[in-house]
Parts: sequence; structure tokens; C-alpha cells
Amino acid sequence: MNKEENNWQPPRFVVKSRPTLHSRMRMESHPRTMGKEMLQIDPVAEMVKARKYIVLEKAITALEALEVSSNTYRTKLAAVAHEMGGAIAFYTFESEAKELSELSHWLEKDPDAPIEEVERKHTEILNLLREKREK
Amino acid sequence: MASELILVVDDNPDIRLFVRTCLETEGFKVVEAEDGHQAMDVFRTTNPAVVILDLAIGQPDGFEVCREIRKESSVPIVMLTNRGEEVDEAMCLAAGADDYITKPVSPRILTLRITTQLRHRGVAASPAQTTLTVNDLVLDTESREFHVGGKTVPLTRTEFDFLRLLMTQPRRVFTREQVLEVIGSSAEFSSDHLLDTHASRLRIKIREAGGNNVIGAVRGVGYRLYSTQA
Repeated sequence: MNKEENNWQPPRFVVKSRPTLHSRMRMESHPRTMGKEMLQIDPVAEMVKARKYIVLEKAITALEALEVSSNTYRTKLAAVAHEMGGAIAFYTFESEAKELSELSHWLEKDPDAPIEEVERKHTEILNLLREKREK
Repeated sequence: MASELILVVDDNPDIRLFVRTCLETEGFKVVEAEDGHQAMDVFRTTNPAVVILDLAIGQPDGFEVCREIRKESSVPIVMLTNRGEEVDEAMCLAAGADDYITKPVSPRILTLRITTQLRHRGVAASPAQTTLTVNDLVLDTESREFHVGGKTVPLTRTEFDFLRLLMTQPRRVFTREQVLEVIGSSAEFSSDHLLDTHASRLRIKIREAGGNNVIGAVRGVGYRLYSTQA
């Protein structure tokens, strides 16, 4: 048995482990080898990553489908903004979700808002989501 | 703790998927419902350990479903609302909910809130076999019934547990943190108004049943019972 074998010790793992938003940073240490730093992606993060643009696309499609000429335009826009704002917020589009929520609240508080103003805000948020999609 | 069944009620499939993934990652089982009618059906057939209930699920809405469930069960109900929605904790609690989460919620916080409800439910499921009596208030910890001067007063699970804590040691002042722990919440994730709302609703229920106001707030500390016969 040589000197090296006599000094053998079991590997010592995980000197530091800390959670991040959707993952966990893990640092491992092994005697006489370089330490390793690993990023472990959790299933929630993987699912969010895989589906975020699908969810965004659904929001865009729902907003595009609204017809300005409809009598229920404002009500439907408020409902779509509310629902889609809630959904995309879970999929990392928090600032866009906030814009949608604000639009929804505004329409609920002011159901008789001028149609031009409603349409302008509708277009603005749609463009914002489209920009996000292009990125 | 893991493998407990959670019912997730939300009309948006992507939100249900997110919540399901969070919970399943932590070992929970999940059943889903997309509207109020389906929620009641699934609730009755699966008997979940916790219900996560979105407010805006069409008709019947989350409040109505919450009240309906509360007629049949003391299961912990956690309500989900959009940020900035014109509802507050008081409305959720009045409907019988035990907790309130604003969307979006991180997986960690979601799991913590559910785990807290489950932990608390476990405590509530094995209470001491006693009846607590303070003045004309009688709390049966076994049947979880509350009586004021012989009149039965329905309480939500949270209200029951809040009152039980106070009635176990009527002269003692319990800190807000101690009460939050007992009702299955935590100071970190609860607003300052949460306990005030519960206390206020308890006072109203006791008063409406003909009892006196025995729940006192100790400014800057917490709550205690005080004797009306003193």
C-alpha cells in the first residue's frame, strides 16, 4: 500500500449549496481534485423555460382576436388582460404581466374610457408582447 | 408530508400546470379543476388535504366555491388572486379561506404556504381531548364546535385555532408570531392586518351570538382573552 492509498479519504461533497430563483447552485469539493460548481435546474424551471413562449403566444393570440368594433370590446379586453396577465407572470414575464393587470384594472374602473384610448393601450401592450416574442 | 393530495382550481391551464409542477416536484399529488362546478365535484370525490383556489374562475367564482366548501369541510383553503386586484384579505377570510396568495408566486413560497397549512392541519387533527371554557364561551376541541351561551357559532378553521390558543391560557398574552404559527401562517408572509381581521371577525361572531367582547389586543405585542365577569 503506497503513501497515497494510506492517506485516502472519502470524497467530501457539497461545501456550499444555495438556492437561486429556479435552480440551485451546488459546489463540491474532492481531495486533490479541483472543486466543481454546478447549477442544478429544477423541474419547475425546466417547465417554465420550455413553455414560456407558448404561454406568451397564447396571450398575443388572445389579444389579437379581440375586435374593436364589438360592443363587448372593453369588457373582453379587461377579461383577457386579467387572465393572460395572471398566466404570463408565472412564466417570467412579470413586467409585461404588470402592464396587462394595469390595463385590466383601468378598464374595470373606467368602463366608459374613450375607445381611442383603449385601442391605443391595447396596441401598445400587444406590441410589447410581440417584442418580447421576437427577442 | 409528501403525497398529500392538493386540489388546484384555476381556469387557466398554464397556471394550473405551473402550480402542479411546483407541488409535484415537492412530492405532493395534485388534482385539478378549471371551474367552480368541477371544483366541487373533484373536491367531493377526492377529499384533498388543501385547496388552492383562484378567485376569477367565472361563475361560480372563487368566493362562492370557498363558501360552498366551507359548508362541508374545514379543509385548508388558500386563495390565489392577481396582483392589485380589488380584493383584500378580509374578503377572502370572510369567505372562509385560511390564506391568501398574490400571483405570481415563486415555487418556494407556494410550497411553504401549502406545507404550513398541512403542518397545521396535522396539529388540528389530533387535538387534546378537552373542552375549553371561558365565561360563556365553550370550545369543544374534539368536535371542533364553539358555543356562546349554549348557542352554536360556526367558525372557520383559522378562527377556531386562533380562539383555541387564547382559551388554553386565558390570562396569557400571546404574541402575534405565536398566533400566526398556530393558525398556520408566518410573520414573513403575512400582512399586519391578517390577525386583526381574524380577531375582528371573531369578536363579531361572538357578539352576534350574544356574547361579550373577550378578545383583547395588546398594543405592540399580540392578543389575549379577558374576563367579562371581572
